[in-house]
Amino acid sequence: MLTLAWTYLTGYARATDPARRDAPEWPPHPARVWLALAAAFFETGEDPAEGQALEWLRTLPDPQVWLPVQAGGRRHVVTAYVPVNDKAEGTALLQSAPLARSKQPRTFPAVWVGDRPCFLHWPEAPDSDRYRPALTQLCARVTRLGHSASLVQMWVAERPPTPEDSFAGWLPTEEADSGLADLHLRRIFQGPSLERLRETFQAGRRPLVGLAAGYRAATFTPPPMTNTTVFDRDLLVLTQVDGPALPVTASLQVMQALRDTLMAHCPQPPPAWVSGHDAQGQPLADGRGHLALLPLPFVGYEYADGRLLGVALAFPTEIDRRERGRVIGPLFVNQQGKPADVSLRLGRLGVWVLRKRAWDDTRLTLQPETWTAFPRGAKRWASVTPVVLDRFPKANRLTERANWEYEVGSILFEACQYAGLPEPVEIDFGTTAWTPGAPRAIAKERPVRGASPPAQARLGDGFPPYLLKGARAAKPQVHVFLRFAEPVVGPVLLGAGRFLGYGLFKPLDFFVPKRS
Amino acid sequence: MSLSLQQLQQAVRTATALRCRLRLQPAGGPGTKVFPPTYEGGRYALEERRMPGYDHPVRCVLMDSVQSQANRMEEALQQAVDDGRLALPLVEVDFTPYFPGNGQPEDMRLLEPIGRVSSLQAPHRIVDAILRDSVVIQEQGKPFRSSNVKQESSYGRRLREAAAHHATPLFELCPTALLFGMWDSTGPKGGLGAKFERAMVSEIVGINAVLGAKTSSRIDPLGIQLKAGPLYRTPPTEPLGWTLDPGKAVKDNKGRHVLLGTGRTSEATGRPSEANHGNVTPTISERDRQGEFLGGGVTIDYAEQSIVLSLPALRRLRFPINGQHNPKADEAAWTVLAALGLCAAILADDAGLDLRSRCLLWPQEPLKWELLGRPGEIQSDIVLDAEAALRLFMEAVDEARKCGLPWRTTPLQLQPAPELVKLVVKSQQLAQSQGTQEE
Repeated sequence: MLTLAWTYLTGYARATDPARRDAPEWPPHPARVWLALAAAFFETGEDPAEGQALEWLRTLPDPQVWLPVQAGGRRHVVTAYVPVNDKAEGTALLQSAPLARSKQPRTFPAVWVGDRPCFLHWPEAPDSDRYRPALTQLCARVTRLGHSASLVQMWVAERPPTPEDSFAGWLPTEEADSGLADLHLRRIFQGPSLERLRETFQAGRRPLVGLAAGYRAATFTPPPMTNTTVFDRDLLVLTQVDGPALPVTASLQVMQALRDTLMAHCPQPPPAWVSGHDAQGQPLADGRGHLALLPLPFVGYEYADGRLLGVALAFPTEIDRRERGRVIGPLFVNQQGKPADVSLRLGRLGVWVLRKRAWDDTRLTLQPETWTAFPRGAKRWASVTPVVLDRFPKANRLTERANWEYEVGSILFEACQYAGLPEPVEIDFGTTAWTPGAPRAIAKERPVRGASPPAQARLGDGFPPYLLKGARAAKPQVHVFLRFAEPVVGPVLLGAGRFLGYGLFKPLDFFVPKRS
Repeated sequence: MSLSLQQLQQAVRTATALRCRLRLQPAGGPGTKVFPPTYEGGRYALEERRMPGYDHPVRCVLMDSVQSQANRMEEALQQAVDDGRLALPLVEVDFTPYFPGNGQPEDMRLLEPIGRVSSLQAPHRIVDAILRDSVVIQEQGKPFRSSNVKQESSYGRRLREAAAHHATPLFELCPTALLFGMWDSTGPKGGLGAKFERAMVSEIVGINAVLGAKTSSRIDPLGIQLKAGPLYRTPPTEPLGWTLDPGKAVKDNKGRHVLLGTGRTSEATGRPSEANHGNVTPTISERDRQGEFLGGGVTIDYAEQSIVLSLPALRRLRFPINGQHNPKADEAAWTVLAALGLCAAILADDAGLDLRSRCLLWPQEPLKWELLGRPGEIQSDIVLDAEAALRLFMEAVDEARKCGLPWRTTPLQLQPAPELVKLVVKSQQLAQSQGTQEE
């Protein structure tokens, strides 16, 4: 075991993201920590024992990163104009003139960390006792991490911190799984050797630290959870970064475009868990076990306007993360480990651009937990997009109301069983949504007076009907409220349209529903 | 407790840093408005911090940046040198003979005075282009620095060798460069020139900032009306620059009388406001895309200045004397630099934190220093006033001299090269002609 720790003496980490000049690098990359140690080594006499310790550090696997939970407040990156000493080209006023020196734009990205330490931790570090004295000596000589104003105190710590101490951990993912990792950090492992650094410096170049390793937030052993659905709670969230603002009623169009894009970009022929069809082109017999696409609208809050902020991919639990990364990863993450832009062509609605959610995006709607209620689960759930009934009720809604309601209730009850949910103790349904900001299940219509032949006019806001291929009539769609005896962890998706964004539920335990 | 020379010597040998966290309030009292620096687009540098005692992340605003704080500390040192409170190695370029420049040729007479520019004032310290393009008087006008070694002054030659393991030339000529950092990017070695990281970092941040609006208006006591114009531009020989009499106005190449100003529309030109007369309609500062006011000042709970002096950064430096390395001399030099850092911070705070217009901050308590030892070890009750810090510095300098380290107490005098003077004169002329064109 080996743990390196450091505190930022000024409370700020200042380092520029290697991929973007105008963004800070946070969390700190393990490679940057190693390079700071290497700089201390070269600048303080090159003790051979320290050199060996540094080379040994390169042989270790990727370390865990532990940061204080309150850290990470980014300063808005502003452009400052500073007098430069270099010769300006093609300007009339010259740089040596004391009163007429032109200024150049520069940015100084910074992140607030506070006084608590940050850690790199290797659970497996054979021979660490041998190199500990040299590393202790070297750490004491490290003055900064990143920019020259990013002063640090560094040491070899006794043990790593724990979540109970209010520290958040980032754990390296397996190689094959790194495609869908939350963030990518440059690795020490496979980085430049000391000899290579010396050559690079003598040639007047910067060190190249190319490869990045995928990292996932450390989640702690969740409470035993028996009530889950057939979908994995680990959603892949994509945020809208460009294109028109769309209401949640446009979900179907967006999901269809996303599905087409996914199908076109995954390995051909698309695996059954993506397409939902077996090798013969038949729909999967069990009706479950394939990828579902979820719209993420801003609903459920006082001023919610029902606007789509992004989408999420819900995977079947039996597909492991490596397989997900292999098939879906290349579309959303480029070779440098940075999120890639995905454009969806939506016809008259324009082009929508999506990007994998930045790990530090704070919007609640884009947090997977908002939709899954992980880890505590929720007993009460309400639909945000309408649930499309799996079959037509036989009773007539207008003439046999009680029978119709009984039948719809049973269809919904069966749908819950089908989705792997426990039996609900209460089911309620109607055309109006329980969650503020979600439109009606179907647009109201009224007869157009004086029209011949008789016609209906759309009235008010509502979701368009979910029409299956080849079907003549759309099945009834309703908003649904569900209450379970025990907490359930989502995502909860019900009904015929559940793979394309209809029948999406949101946990209701945060506010009082209108009816119950 | 105060800090003795022995304690400081002990600290520079083993400790990690000297740190000071100072709480400041606006001089107008808690809750009064202050104005942070604006950056491109009229924006403030804002950030969110999660802080103990607050449920939600708190919005903070940068009140004075690291770079700006370094400049203020150097300014305070320069003031102390000018007042004779402190003697410090300096390099100075003297432009006084060229203003008004009687007896100088026409192209070497400055239009505006520049006076002396020292290595504490030049933006890039001793490696600034102003110093590079000057000559050393006492060495028969040899260039201070030159790409040709044979022509270069002895000081420039020594500067070429400066590196972390050979910091003696900088200690002799410009020790502040070792404290605040420098990069010799335009010296003889270009981008590969010596780079010294900063050992001293100070910054001021306002906590829990609420953005305000700025209003502007002007009621003209003369009551000059818009329709009292139009105003015409007069030739430069006329005193006011404008006239109501078309007969006295300058004419353009089509023979028309030229109206005053460069208004965006033809109606705007010739208005009395072009000559800064008349009322100004009351306005509220603009808002950005998030609806926040731009440049309207802030109210804050308090501001915090944090000063950190990194001692391992000083310990990286070596000070060989005549090629001979002596650990005692190294320690003496580190102590001088640490004492100089303390002086700079304390003198700058003593000078008052009047950061800019409408941004005067006032410390709620005297400067208290913390000595950070090994991880977790903090000694936190060191109080040092300016006189004590200066005394500590003098004692440290005496010790360094005893070890044989060079220490200049009079500035190294440079003269700007004639080409540099001509360049400055020319750019002053250019700036003046541009100024009149824009009016």
